[in-house]
Order: sequence, then C-alpha cells, then structure tokens
Amino acid sequence: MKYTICKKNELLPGEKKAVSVGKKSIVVVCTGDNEYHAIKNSCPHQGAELSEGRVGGTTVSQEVGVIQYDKINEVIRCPWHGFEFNVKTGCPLYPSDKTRIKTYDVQVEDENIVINL
Amino acid sequence: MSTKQTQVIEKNSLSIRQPIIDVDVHEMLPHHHDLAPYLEQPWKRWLTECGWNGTRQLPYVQHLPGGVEKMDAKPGDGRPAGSDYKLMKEQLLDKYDVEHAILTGLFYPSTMKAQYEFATALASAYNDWQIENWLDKDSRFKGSIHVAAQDPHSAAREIDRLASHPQMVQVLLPIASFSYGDPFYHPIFEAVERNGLLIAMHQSTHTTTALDNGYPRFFIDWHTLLPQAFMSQVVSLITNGVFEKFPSLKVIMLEGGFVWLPALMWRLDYNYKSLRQEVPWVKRMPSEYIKEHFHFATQPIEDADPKEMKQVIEMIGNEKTLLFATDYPHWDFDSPTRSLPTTLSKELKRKILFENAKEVYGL
Repeated sequence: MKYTICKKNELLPGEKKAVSVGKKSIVVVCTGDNEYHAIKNSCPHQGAELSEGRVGGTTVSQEVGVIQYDKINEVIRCPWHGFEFNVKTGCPLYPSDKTRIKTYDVQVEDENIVINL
Repeated sequence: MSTKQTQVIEKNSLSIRQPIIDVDVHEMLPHHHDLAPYLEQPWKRWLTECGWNGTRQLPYVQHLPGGVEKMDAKPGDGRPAGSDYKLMKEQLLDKYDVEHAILTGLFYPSTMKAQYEFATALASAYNDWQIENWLDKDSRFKGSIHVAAQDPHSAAREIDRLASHPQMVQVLLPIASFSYGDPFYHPIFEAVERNGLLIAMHQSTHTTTALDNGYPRFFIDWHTLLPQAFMSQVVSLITNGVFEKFPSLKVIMLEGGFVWLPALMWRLDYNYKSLRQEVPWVKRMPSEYIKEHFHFATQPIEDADPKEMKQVIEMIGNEKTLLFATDYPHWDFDSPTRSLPTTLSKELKRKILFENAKEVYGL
C-alpha cells in the first residue's frame, strides 16, 4: 500500500520528516537530490523518537589520528544518547550483528515522496 | 601451624605436577650504586659523586610486618628482599615448580620527571645488570627490558639493542600519571612490535589515583584504588587507536587487578556507541580489543567468595585473559597453590597457572 508523504520539494537534503502511517511512526530523510529513505522512528536503544535527533554526516578514519567527515546526510543521531544509524540501511555505525532499525521503501512519484508499506 | 607443615599440605593439594609460569617476580637491586659499573661517564659520576638517591619512594609507611617485603624473603643482611638469587630459587622457583619466572624489577627510570638522558642511561645500565646478575644465572628467568619512556626514541633504541637476547620477553612500562596511549609513546610500541616482544605495565611508586593529587591520605586508600590507573591505561590504549596501529601488540597488566574488567568493558562499549565520532579509528567494540590484546595478572587476587569470583572470571569472557603471578618477594604475594578460587575447574587453573602465559610469551 502506498502513502504520499509530501511534495519532494518540501524535503531538502539533510532534512527529515516524521509521519504516522496507520500505527507506524516513521521518519523520512532526504539524503541527497531525489534520494529519500525511511526508517522506523524509534531508537532501538531506549525508544527515543529519532525524528527529534540530527541528520548529518559522520567521522571516518583511514589512519589513526586522521579524521575525515563523510556520509553527509546519511546518518541520523538519536536525540538522547547520540547513537548513530545509517538511514539507508538502518544499521548502527557501531559494530553490531543484532541491532538494525526497520527500513521502508520510499519512491518519488509525480513529484511526491511516496512510502510503500 | 608451622611453615614446614603448611608446605606439606600445599604439596599434597596437587595430585599431578603443575608447573607454574609466574609473570611478576621482582628481582631487586641491593643498592642503586650497584649500577655504577654498568654506566658510562658522565652518568657514572652523576650516580657516585652527585648524590643521586634513586627513584622516589612511595610517600607512605606500609603498616605491614615487613614493610613492602614478605618477612621471610628478607636475606637478613640488610639487602632488600628479592636481591638474593639463592633465596629466590629456594622460596619460589624450586618450591613451586616455577618453569619460567618473568622478572619485572622495581627500578623504573620511566618515572623520572627530569634529566631524561640520565634516565635512559640508568635504564640501559639496569638491563645489563639484570642480564649479568639474574638472566645469566638461571634459564628459568625471563627478562623485562626497562626504558625511559619519557624519551620514546631512545627507549626504542634500547629495545632494539636488547630484543635479540634469548631471555628478554617484554618491555616494562611503569604506570605513573600519564597515558601511554598518547601518540608521543608510539615509537615504543612500534619497536616492541617490530621486535616481537610484549608490553608489560606494572604499578609503581608514581602510580596515581583519582583524587588528592594522586596520593590519598592513607596507604590503604592508594593501594585499594590502584585499579583506577590501570583502567585509565586500558582505555587510553584503545581510544588512541594503538591496536589499530600496532595490530599484533599484546599488553600484560601487572598488579592492577582484573575483577573490574566486566564493568569497564560494559561502560566503554556503551560510551563508544554514543561517542564513536570522536575516535573513528577505533573500528571494533572496545571490549573486543581488551579480549584480544590484553592479559591481566591475577595477583593480588581478592579474597572473595569463590563462587562469586568464578562468576566474575566467566564474565570476562576469555579464558586466556588471566595469567598467574606471585609478586614475590612482596607482602601481597599470592601462593601458587592457595590463591586461585577453589571453584575454578582444573583445566582453567592450568590455563591461568601455565598455559596462557606459555602461549602469549611463546615459551
């Protein structure tokens, strides 16, 4: 079943939007031009609403002591404890085999952002 | 009960031969002037003519029968306990079937806060003294290379100088008030890794605890709180990416306890989930580095309920983590036959007493 979230020009890169679809609380994130991803709006740690957190990049390092900023607009951080999650995969940025946030299929149809449940 | 009777009971408690690898044995300089023959000028003169009186002593009276020393380990002629090879052989090596004793000294030039060149010369002299007076006397002895860590490049040269000695197994870094994870010290780790040695960290008179500028009012406070400094070093090595930079490095933590490990692993892992952005070179969960790269000596093992102690050891999550140590000849010596919890399986006891150290030291 498809649900229209908003016009695509209403959600720019780095912005997020919380929506309720039925009983599901979902956060939709614009990660780039015409790139949208949706995950369950609940941190798997203690249940904070991720839509209250920040979308941004993160630090990466190829060499000890050297920091780069990368994955811009692909990371959402929980508003409470700052856990980082990749909005494309739902995976945390810390190593974990167990934790993964549910992701939802998002498409652009007729200039609308549409979520497919 | 007399000493003799006690020994009989201890022997009877082992039905099969259980060799020991003791990873913390303190060979002692009778007097720091004994280093003079191993020093070049001008350092020899600094020692003999300029009134240098050794690395600083701990600012506490130790309210114990023999001070810091086990009473029966004193040679009785004024020299410190641990300075007499024959007595050590009798009381430790032969008595307890010690197959290897890792010598750790107690003369740590790394803690000298000034005159680094002198500290480097003293470390080198101590190493040569150790070889001639201890390693050459008994093949069961394995040695620690002492360095002046405040001059890491000189320390690396000293490591390169002695690493090929067949009985040298590790580089000893005393724990003081600075973090060894800092990149300043990395040349030492680089030299250790390149020479296939281990790092051992041991408490020192300069080990500081959290409050009161490092030295609380009472010795009982300081001695109880020493794990604070050990925890700090563990965290420092991990967050500074030492094990990403030197992936084969192994670190032995001596005389700082181990029962706090589960709590430290939980807390560091938990914080890593929130604060990974600060240290992105840390690629794995911190507890994984601890389990892979650290070993902890058992001494001084707490006199806890054996069932609870077994639970803590299980919580550490790696049966290879613990290595047995006596700390001979000091007051808080742990007996190889009487100190480990009675609840541990024979297999695990054997690992702690022997197999784990044999593997990590490659003996």
